[in-house]
Amino acid sequence: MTLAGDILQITALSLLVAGTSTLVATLIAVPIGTVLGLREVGSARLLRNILFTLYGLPPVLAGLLVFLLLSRAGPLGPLRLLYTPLGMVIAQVVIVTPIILGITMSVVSTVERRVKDTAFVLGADRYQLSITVLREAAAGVLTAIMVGFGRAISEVGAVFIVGGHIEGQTQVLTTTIITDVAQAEYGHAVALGVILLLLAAVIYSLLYRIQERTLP
Amino acid sequence: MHFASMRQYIVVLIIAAVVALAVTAYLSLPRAYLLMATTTSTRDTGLLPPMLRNFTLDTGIEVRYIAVGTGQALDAGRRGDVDVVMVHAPALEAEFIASKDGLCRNQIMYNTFVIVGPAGDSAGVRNATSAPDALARIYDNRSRFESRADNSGTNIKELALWSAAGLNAASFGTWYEKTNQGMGATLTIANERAAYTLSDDGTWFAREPTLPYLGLLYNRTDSVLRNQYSVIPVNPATHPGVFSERALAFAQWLVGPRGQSFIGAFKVHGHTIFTPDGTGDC
Repeated sequence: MTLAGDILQITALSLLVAGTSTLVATLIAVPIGTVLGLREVGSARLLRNILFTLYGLPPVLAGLLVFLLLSRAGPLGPLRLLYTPLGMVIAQVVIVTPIILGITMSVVSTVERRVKDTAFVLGADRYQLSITVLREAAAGVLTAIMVGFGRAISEVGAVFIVGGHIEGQTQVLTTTIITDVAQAEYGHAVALGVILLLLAAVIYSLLYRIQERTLP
Repeated sequence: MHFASMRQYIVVLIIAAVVALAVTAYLSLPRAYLLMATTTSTRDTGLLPPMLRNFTLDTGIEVRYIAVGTGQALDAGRRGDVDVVMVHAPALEAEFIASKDGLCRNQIMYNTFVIVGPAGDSAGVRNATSAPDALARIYDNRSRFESRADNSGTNIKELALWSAAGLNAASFGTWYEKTNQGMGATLTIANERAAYTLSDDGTWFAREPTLPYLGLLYNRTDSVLRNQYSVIPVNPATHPGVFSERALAFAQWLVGPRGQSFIGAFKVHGHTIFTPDGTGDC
């Protein structure tokens, strides 16, 4: 494979894996985070504590757990998802979901305190309240998604363990930088590092624009 | 943002997630290629990509690999996660066959373990009379030594050499450092930290130009330093679903004339790295 083709493929897979994980995690985390953020403290407290523990879940531990789950000797072995992009996405969803969830929860509960009384005075029901709150919290939720994507694209331990870093199949930017360094291919490693940085810059500036537009 | 545009955002988000998942799932469809677990040393020498290309040209079978330590490579076979393993630790290989995880074993090639270290060689490894003597000199001098400590074939050989010198590596002090990493990474660390280490000569020759502070200090071809590589297809009776026929074809190609002549002709920076010695029961 040519050098450029190889870099293109690695970059594309990095984007696909991190992007898919972030989207799936967003769909799981934003609704749950909104509901939990709106709840009065009490019944949701234990759940919140658990979620905040997962918030600090070391990615490499998530990788280990998903590896044991997906290995053919493991409970989900028959799905044959170890060493595949989908397996990597599963690991990253485990990592990213608590992050988006945690931030969404905080943002929503802050906004809720601010708008709840007004909304009820204006005759809003529970559902309308959540929509109003989520709308007010949109900028914060976008930040949550940005942080989640940042974690996914720069994560290395879990995608290495679960993906296996197979040439042409599951190599991503971060894992390739590791093996490049092991083989003293410093030039190639630096090139990939620059791409990683550029990707982050492009995506963050895009999200920042959306965020600016949605600010109330 | 209004209710309508909010709903639009959600719809766009869901569509994007579904499309992204579909693409990922498509790329994750049950693989048609042969998957091999092999050791970092075969990757770090650069042997694998051209050799696998030749095999694919000859047979139409596509091979991909994960490169890990020998211990982990055999474990991937033991879990049924790969179809074939290519490793270099005969004692562990015998266990792998005995436990019915391996189908059969073809030895394919060997290279030699060498001791490399700081060019100044304060421990006097250059004057050693044998490999255990070389390690004893490093011990006597308490010179810094990098151990891979990763249950790889090289690590297992290193521990056996300490034993042969009458020393117990478990009791060593801080001069004995454990990298827990592959051969290439360990050589880089030894180069930076002016330390001795045990390497296979293939990886050493491939990496030599990037290791200015290290020198080749002990490279005699004592039989104890022979580094024998073998290929073992995973046993389909124990692990149903592995690509057994293709794995056997691969094992046979490696010891056949095409595989053996490729291995013998493979050069890195002008050095022949592997000596083909293909034979076996596959």
